[in-house]
Amino acid sequence: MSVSIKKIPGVESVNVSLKQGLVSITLKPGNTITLTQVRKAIKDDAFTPKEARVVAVGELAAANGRLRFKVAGTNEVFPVEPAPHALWQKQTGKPLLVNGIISEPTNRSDNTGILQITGTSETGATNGKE
Amino acid sequence: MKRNWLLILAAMFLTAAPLRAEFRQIDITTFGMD
Repeated sequence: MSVSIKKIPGVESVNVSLKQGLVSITLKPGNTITLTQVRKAIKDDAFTPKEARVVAVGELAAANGRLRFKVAGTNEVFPVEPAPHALWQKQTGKPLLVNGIISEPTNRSDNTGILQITGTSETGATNGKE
Repeated sequence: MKRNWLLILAAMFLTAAPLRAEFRQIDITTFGMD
């Protein structure tokens, strides 16, 4: 599986832990990889991808009272888990480094998974490590 | 003329900044590996 993920442009390194059932992917700066691409590569190798813990740069945007996180380099958009994250509402419209957990997509209306934000910081203030 | 070029360069810089957006790290739980 690590070979097929490494073939995706923008992937720097892949670490597969069979014991933990975890695939850790480090990405190159400026990549345009999508989580959908990663999930597909895992599925193509006959494994089942579940939730993903991510660090990503993008923007929060509010529309129709709902918050979404857009990874602008890819145009991939994730709905944000509503409560108890009302405080993220104040951070819309500016580039942010977001730490969070994206759930496994469940059905046709939820084809990306829902992002639960665990932390944010302004871009440039951090190197992406927690 | 020179001023116009400076304005164009400044606009390009400002509009390019938001494009620096991407995943840095993905740790994905995966079933079927045991």
